Amino acid sequence: MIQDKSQVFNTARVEALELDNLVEVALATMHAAEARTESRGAHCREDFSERDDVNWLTHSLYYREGHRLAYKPVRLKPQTVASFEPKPRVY
Amino acid sequence: MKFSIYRFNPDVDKKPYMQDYDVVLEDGDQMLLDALLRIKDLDDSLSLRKSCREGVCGSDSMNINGKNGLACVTKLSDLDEPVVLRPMPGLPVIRDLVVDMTQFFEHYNSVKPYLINHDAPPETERLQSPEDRAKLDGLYECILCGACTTSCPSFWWNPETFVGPAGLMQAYRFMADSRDQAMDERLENLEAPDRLYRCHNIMNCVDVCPKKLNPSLAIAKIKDLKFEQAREHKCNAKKHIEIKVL
Ligand code: SF4
Repeated sequence: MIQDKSQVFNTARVEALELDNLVEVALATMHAAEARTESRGAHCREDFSERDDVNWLTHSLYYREGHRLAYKPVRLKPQTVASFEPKPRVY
Repeated sequence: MKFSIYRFNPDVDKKPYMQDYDVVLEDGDQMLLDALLRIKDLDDSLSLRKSCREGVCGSDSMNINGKNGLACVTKLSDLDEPVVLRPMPGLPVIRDLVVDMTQFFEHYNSVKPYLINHDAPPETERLQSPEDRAKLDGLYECILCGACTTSCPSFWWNPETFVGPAGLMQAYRFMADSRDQAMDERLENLEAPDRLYRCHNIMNCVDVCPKKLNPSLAIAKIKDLKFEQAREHKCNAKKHIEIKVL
């Protein structure tokens, strides 16, 4: 519960709104990550430890209603520079 | 740990007052900002700015036991109790520890804090030698927290006209940049008596800067450049007269 009701620089209210957004982003992350059965960069799964460019070279889109997911292809043809083949990054 | 904190909310308060807090710290609370967030847990009406919590964003600058600094990089173990916290001096208070930085950023903008170069945009980056790049060390790191400018008596005295240490150091940062072409314009811009010359090397700025920068030195270098410029103009004017006489 926010006690501060002031209109002036009310950081308690701002933080509550931020928390609301954080929860939403966390939900999007959770649902998209669970569906993505591979590992890629910071998305790292123990049950699917390899990168899978055949099935998952795609953007995930999340919709709040029913936690629906959709997918959109990654553009691989840059307009002004030469393209470079997607491949696993190994350091 | 005991705190005495400046409170003012224009919605309800006629006058500012100091409020005492006694807060129980937990393991891992090391910095002043940690303690302030504990206090905010108890009393969410306490307003302060903060963001990165590691001395990079410059948001939580305030007056701490009489000296300006960043709450997030000030160790609790270094502070005498009660810790007296006030908003940065010399700027209007919006609420509690939050000041209106408009004046500060107007001064900053007034020195054109960006590269001025009239050459056609190059295909690649504008390169610099490592030596030229090194001339920007100690200048570019400023995070615009405002601790220096609001600790400066010359700024308190002439807030509308004196650019202040932070703004002046950024003016010099571009004078010192080998890629910049606006030296004369930049020096001319600081000609009005109150803009640059109100600095009397009081050095509060150097004392408080949380990034350990030296605005006072940068200001002295601008004054050197102004002197050089004036001398050149005089020489040129003299030559001009001699030629006429001949
Ligand atoms: S020079 Fe230092 S004190 Fe002044 S605004 Fe920059 S970082 Fe803050």
